[in-house]
Amino acid sequence: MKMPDDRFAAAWEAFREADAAIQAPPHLEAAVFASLDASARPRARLLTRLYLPMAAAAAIAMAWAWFGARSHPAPAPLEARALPPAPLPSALVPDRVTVTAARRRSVPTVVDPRAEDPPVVLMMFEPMPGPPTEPLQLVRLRVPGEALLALGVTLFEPDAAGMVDIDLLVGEDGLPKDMRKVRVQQEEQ
Amino acid sequence: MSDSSRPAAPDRARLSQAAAGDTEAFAEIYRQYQSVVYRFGYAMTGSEAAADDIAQETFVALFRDLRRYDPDRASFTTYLYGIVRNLSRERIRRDRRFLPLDVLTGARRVSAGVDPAKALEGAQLAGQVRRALHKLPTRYRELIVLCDLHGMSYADAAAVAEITTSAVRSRLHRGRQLLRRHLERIAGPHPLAAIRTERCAI
Repeated sequence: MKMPDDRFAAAWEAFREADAAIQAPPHLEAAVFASLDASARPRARLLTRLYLPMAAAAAIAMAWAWFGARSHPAPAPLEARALPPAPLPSALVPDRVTVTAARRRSVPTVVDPRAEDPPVVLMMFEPMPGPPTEPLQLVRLRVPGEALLALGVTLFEPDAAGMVDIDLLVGEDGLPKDMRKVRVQQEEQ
Repeated sequence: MSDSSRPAAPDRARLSQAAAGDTEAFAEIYRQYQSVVYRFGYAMTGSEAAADDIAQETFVALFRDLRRYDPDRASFTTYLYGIVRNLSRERIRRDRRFLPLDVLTGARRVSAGVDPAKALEGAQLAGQVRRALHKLPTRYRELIVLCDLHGMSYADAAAVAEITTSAVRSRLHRGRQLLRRHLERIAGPHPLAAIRTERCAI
């Protein structure tokens, strides 16, 4: 069935009006200028971290050299004297030098845990930011149990097919806020 | 099907100041174009979060590359639309596996108008058109958004999309046909179409 022209025009006009009313969200400006600051920061950081300490070190060195030259008279120039060559101690001279190629060891390397502290990774879970009055949408999903295991969720037991039905609460920013398992109650015959 | 509500291009002095790193001059350009860039990103992706990202990346890229902009080669608006168009296409390519929830649910806020029923009907129609638009291939969608929604001329749209003006015309024609077809499927038959009218003699 072909849509009448006037109906299509009305729909397009409604869309155009709705689109024209859209404004960029207020947080966008702050985000844009924060990104600009972040992109400009490396140059400033390079200036403060590299050039300023170098300039300060050069100034200190010059001042130290200048004051040192004024407070102490110049020492008399040293005379170079040639020393007679001395033989090396016999303990340091090996009888025969044998060079062997290092063989690759097939034994796996075992690191002594006491040798150095193992890296510690701390994971902190924080509640998602957002006002409590944020409109949420409920999305029901059927996902493999392994997918939840990969996320670290082990509380939901999959069914015989290995699938789990979950409800997701999705916020305005598109991020999931909460999750629960869908429990299907069987009607008793 | 046109809207010429695009802001006037900033003058060259302002652009030169912004290109030299003047944040105040750039902020003025940003405030002038933020809605246009955001609306384009939203119309292309159908997602508020993606439109946020696209607008942010567009202005960061603009600030970084503004000194390379040559006013003799293209207008500033064309240059800016070129950036946002490329970033939108890149985002669409990256998010091809996902369908945005905004498009699925038509979750756009209805503005508090005088007549809530009319506002709701308008929002429903707008949501249907947005879903139909999102079903179009990107090459048709971007031209419909540029020409029919943002009121851009064929020549400017050709410069933004890097195609010829005749290609713009043919793609627009094909895109409008497809849009109407998708909208027919989404909106369904008109309520009055179900009523069978019969010719009667008086």
